[in-house]
Parts: sequence; structure tokens; C-alpha cells
Amino acid sequence: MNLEAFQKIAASNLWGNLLPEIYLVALCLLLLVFEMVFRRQDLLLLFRVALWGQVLLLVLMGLSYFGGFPSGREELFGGLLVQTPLTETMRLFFLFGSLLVSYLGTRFLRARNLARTEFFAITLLVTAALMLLVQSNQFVLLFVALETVTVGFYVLVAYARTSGYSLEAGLKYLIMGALSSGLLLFGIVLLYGVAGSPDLAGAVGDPLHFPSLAQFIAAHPDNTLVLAGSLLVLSGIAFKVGAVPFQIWIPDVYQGAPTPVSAFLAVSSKAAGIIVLLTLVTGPFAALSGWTIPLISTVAVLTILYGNLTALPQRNVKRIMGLSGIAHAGYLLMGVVAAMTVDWAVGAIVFYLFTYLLASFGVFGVMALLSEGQDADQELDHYEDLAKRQPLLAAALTVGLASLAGIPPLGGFIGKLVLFIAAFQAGLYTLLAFSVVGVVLSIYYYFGWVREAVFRVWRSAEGAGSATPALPEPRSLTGLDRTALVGLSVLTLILGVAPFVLTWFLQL
Amino acid sequence: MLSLNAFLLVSGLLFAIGFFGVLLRRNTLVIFMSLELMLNAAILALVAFSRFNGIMDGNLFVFFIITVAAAEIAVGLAIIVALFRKRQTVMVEQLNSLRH
Amino acid sequence: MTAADFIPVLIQILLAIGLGGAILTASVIFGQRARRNRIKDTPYECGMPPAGPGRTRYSVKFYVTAMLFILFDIEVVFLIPWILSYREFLVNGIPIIGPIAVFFGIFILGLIYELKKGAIQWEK
Repeated sequence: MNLEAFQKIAASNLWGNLLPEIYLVALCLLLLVFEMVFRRQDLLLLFRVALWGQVLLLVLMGLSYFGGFPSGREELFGGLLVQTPLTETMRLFFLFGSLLVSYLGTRFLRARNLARTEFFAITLLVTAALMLLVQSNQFVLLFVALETVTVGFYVLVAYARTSGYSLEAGLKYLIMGALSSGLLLFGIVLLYGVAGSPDLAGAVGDPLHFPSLAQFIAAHPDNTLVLAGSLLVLSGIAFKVGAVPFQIWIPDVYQGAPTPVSAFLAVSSKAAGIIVLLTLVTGPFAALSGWTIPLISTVAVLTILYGNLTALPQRNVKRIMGLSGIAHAGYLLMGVVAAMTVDWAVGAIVFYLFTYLLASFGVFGVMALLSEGQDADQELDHYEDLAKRQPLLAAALTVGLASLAGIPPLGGFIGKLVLFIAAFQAGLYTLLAFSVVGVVLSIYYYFGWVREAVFRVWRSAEGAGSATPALPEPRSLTGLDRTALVGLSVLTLILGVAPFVLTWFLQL
Repeated sequence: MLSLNAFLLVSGLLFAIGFFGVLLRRNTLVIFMSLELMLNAAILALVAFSRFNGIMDGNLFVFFIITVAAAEIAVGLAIIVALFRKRQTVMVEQLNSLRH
Repeated sequence: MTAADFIPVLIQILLAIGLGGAILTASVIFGQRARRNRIKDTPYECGMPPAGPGRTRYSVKFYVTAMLFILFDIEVVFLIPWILSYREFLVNGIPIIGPIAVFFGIFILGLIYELKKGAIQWEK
């Protein structure tokens, strides 16, 4: 046994750098212990532990940055994972996302008679896995982290197990997710096999490690197995992102899943997929840019068009969010292509993700507050005259939707703008043209929704007794609800008008 | 002594059977088995590569894949059983309430 | 490995088949014979005639047990590499007890959780 190598690896096991992940897992276990000790599942207690525990982590991470935000690139655990300013920012992103999911989840769990602890526990576990996923620098860790995320999401999507919708969505997600994992895994195996093959010149000793694999692929970019393997790996990731032609699961799963989980899927899961894709195409697959750039560009165009065109005639709001989320994945894919040639595009992607997080959670938050548990069949008609009934909800909804559509001066506008400038600088003119068409289309359906909620629509006499039964009036908003909605809207505005935030992101 | 290609051929066949099984079969349980077949195809190829290339990493990766597959089976089976109790069917074409 | 290395396995297989065959043959040769007719061949010779389908459905409770079994069974796989490298790591000062203790801590917590939840109580 090569003990010196092991000693070297053991010396690079800096557990201190993984404290946020360890903290989240410990919090998750603590919740399960609570569950065992207090059998009656006091929702308020669980909620407080989960929420304040995460806020504490956010504060602690913030305090640690007084010594300076991490800069440079650090490989840990014998090259298993790598930490950069990008991964640190994504950690904050996922933590922020999981905080909002826990908050929305409380609202959802209160309305339904379901097991409670496990929702928070799995959310925390998935978040820790997402953090590890974006830091992974080796295929074993990538696969295990990705699967932890995916299996966690199977449970979360099917969480409302008394509802046929939720279970059906869970089953669809299960089949599609497992299929994509199978493709991804087979791709990894092919790459592993060919990169370690002693018959080829330049075979490497640890073919699962990204830098070694990059070396090998640079030496053999035309090998058939390399092509097949990388194509399979990219398809597996495309499934998670929801890019055409692997987008079929999205509308059904988003509609059937509990609203907080749809938001979690839309934001955190998609963001992780995009960042992993970015790591792969700029890392191990960098030498394959001859065909990855045209391929991902084509996929991006199709994704943008598919998402926007199918969202146009939709009436179900969760399906609208799902389908328009596909379109957003398309813009982000364009950013990924741009990032292969323009360095600062990475920052543009992360900035876009943050604006997407704030706007999406605003909209999903309004949806969750309005639905009170009956969330699979919310139609646009239910939003009629929301401004009169619930002015605050209508305002938050408008800000969120306008930011998603990319209206100045909100964050979404700046996010799209920097992404488009990056694409322009990378010379992706065709892609850019399609994106602009996509944005114009998206304004139509987003504003259809806003019009439904805010502006008085002309209705014929026979249309007055609307066919869809009204949802029950939402219970009054608590202080926390108001703070969350107002906070999200204000942050969206700040991202839109404060240039120093943007310059900070572009340094990533 | 079998060559590497023989293992890869079997592995590729298993993967193809699994993949088309997922796409073409109508029974959820059979689809589920096909999914596991895909993972096993990957495991077979991994072990073969590991043996012929003389790198241990692949064998260790297999442990993780098996664990992940077990977790997937546990969750998946739970979802299927719950759905069966709710709908009394495991056929895909009857699970179509999420359409508008 | 060559084909010659598999000879012990072949011997094992032949032994198993041979032994099984020998026992069956012996029972046919030396055993007592009863009269055979249709009634003798029914499952319950002097009881109720069997009715209904032969295959009964298993209770779903067994699925839970099976799932938990798979999970806990698979976790043990990680013990094999641990045991194989345990002594040498310990001698050379590479931490190995701590990680496995954490692993088992989580593992046992899961077991307690499962027991508390009543996942393996069959009769409720």
C-alpha cells in the first residue's frame, strides 16, 4: 500500500473548510433527534430550529468574510473538491434558497396534515449536497452529491403523499431523474475506462479527477469513447437543468410537487446543474469546445424557444413557472457558452441566478400564500383582481414577474443585460437574436398574469360568473410573510439599481 | 481469458436493454427494474475497466454506486407503493392526471 | 486467472449436484412407498378442499422491512475497505477511527429513528 500518498491525502483533509456543510447535516440530524424526543411534532419549534439555525449559519459565514472573502483556488481532500470564490458564492446562494424553502414549507405544512420534521431535514440535507456538488472536482464526489440531491428531491416532490398529483409527479421525476443518472454514470464510466487505458499514450493514473481527465482529453479529443462519454455526461446534466430535448418532465413535476418544492427545484436544482455544466465544459471538456460550443448553442436556442412558446397558451400558473423556467435555463446555457470564451461571463451567470432566485421565490411565495395547500390546480383566473383583495401580494407578484420578464429597473433586467453583453462579446449573434425574441415572448405571458392580478380586465356579462371556482381566501399575512415578500422585492430592486453589486459579481 | 471488449459488449447490451426498457415498457415496476439494469451495466463496465487498466478507483466507485442505487430503490419503491394504494394501478398510461 | 484455477469451483458444483442426486435416489430406493391416488396428492388429504388462488398478496408492511433491510445491508459494504486498511492507517497516524465513528453514529441514529417511528412494528 502506498502509505505516503495516503498520508498526503489525509493532510489535505481540511474539515474546517467544510464547516457549512457539516453544520447543515448536523442541523438535519438535530431535527431528527427532536422528532424522536418530542413525538407530537411541534411545527413551530421545528420551524424555529430549522429557520434560525440557517440564519445563524448565514451570520457565521458572513462573519468569516471579515477576514476577506476567499480568493484563489484551493484543492482539498486529495483533489476531491476545489474551493473558489465562485463555489463560496454558490454556497450562500443555496443557503439563501433553502432558508426561503423552509419558510414556504412551514406555510405548506401547516395547511396539510403531513409528517413535518422530514421536510426540513431533507431540505437541509439536499442543500448540503448542493454545496458539495458545485465544489466537486472529481467524478465520484460529483455523482454521489448529485444523487443525494436527486434522491432527496424524489422524496420532496412526492411529499404530499395523500395527493395523487404529488405522487404522480414524484414518480415521473423518479423515472426521469434515474434515467438521467444512468446516462451520466455510463458516460463517467466510459471516460474513466478510456482515460485510464494503458494502450493509449498519455493515459492518466486517476482518470476520475477532473484536471487529469482534462489532460487526457486534450491529448485525445477525437477518440470515439471520449466523445460518447462526454456526450452522455452532458445529457445527464442537461436532464437536471431541463434543457431541450430533456425537458419533458418539467411541467408535470412542477405542477404536481408542493409549491415550495417547485421553487426549490426551479432555483437551486437548476442553478446547481448550470454550475456543474460550467465546471465541466471549462474544466475536463475544455478541449472538446470544437463541438460542445455548437451543441450547447443549439440546445440553448431550442430551450429558449420551447420554454417561451409552450408557456404562451398556459393557464395553470405552476406550469407557466415551469415552462418559463425552461426558457431561463436556456438563457443560462447561453451564458455557459459565452463563459467558454469570455471569462467574466461566469460572474454574469451567477448574478443572473441571484436575480432569478429573488424573483422566483417572490412569485412562488405569492402562489404558496394564496393556495393554502390546494396547489396543483391554480389557474390564472384565480388571480383576478388580486390587487383589490391583497395589495401586498399583488405588488410582490408584479415585482417578481417583471423581474423575470426583464423590465428595468429591476434585477432581472440587469441580469439579462450582462448575460447578453457577455454573449455579444463571445460573438454568439444568432443565439443572442433568439434570446431577444424569447424575452419579448416572455413579456407577453408574464404580463398576461400581471394584468389578471392588477388591472381590471373587461369581461362580458356571461363571463362574469367565472367557470373556475375561486380558491379560498388566504388567511391574513403574518409579519414574517410581509417581511419576506417585501424583502425579496426590495432586494430585486437593489440588484437592479446598485452597480457595485454587479461589479462585485463580475469579479468572480 | 475473456477480453475487455467482451465485458464491454455485455455491458453495452445491458445498458441498451435498460434504456429501451425505460422508454418502451408500460409497467412502472418493469421501468424501475430497467433503470437498475442501466446502473448495473455501468457497474459491470466499471469493474472491467478497473481490472484491465489496473486502477483501483473504479472498484471503489462501485461501492458508492451500489449504495446510491439502494437509496434510489428504497425511495422509488415507497413512491410506487404509495401511488398504487392511491390509484390501484402501476401502468404508466393510466397515470396522466397532470395534463392541461 | 486461467481455466485451471476454476477446478475447485467445478469440483464444488459437481459435489453439490452429486450429493443432492444421491440423497434423492437413496430416498426413492430405500424409502417407504404409499399408495398414490388423486386424494393422496391433494395438499390437505383429510381436510378442506383448497379454494381460491394459490398466490396470496403480501402485506405492504413487508416492503418497508425489505427496503430497510436493503439500506442497512448495503451500508456494511463500506466496512470492508475500512477493515482492510485499518491497522496500517492506525500505525502510520492517518485518522481512521474518527471518520468511521461519525459514519456509525449517523448510521445508529438512523436505526433509532426507524425504531422510534415504528417502521418495523408489524402488528399495530
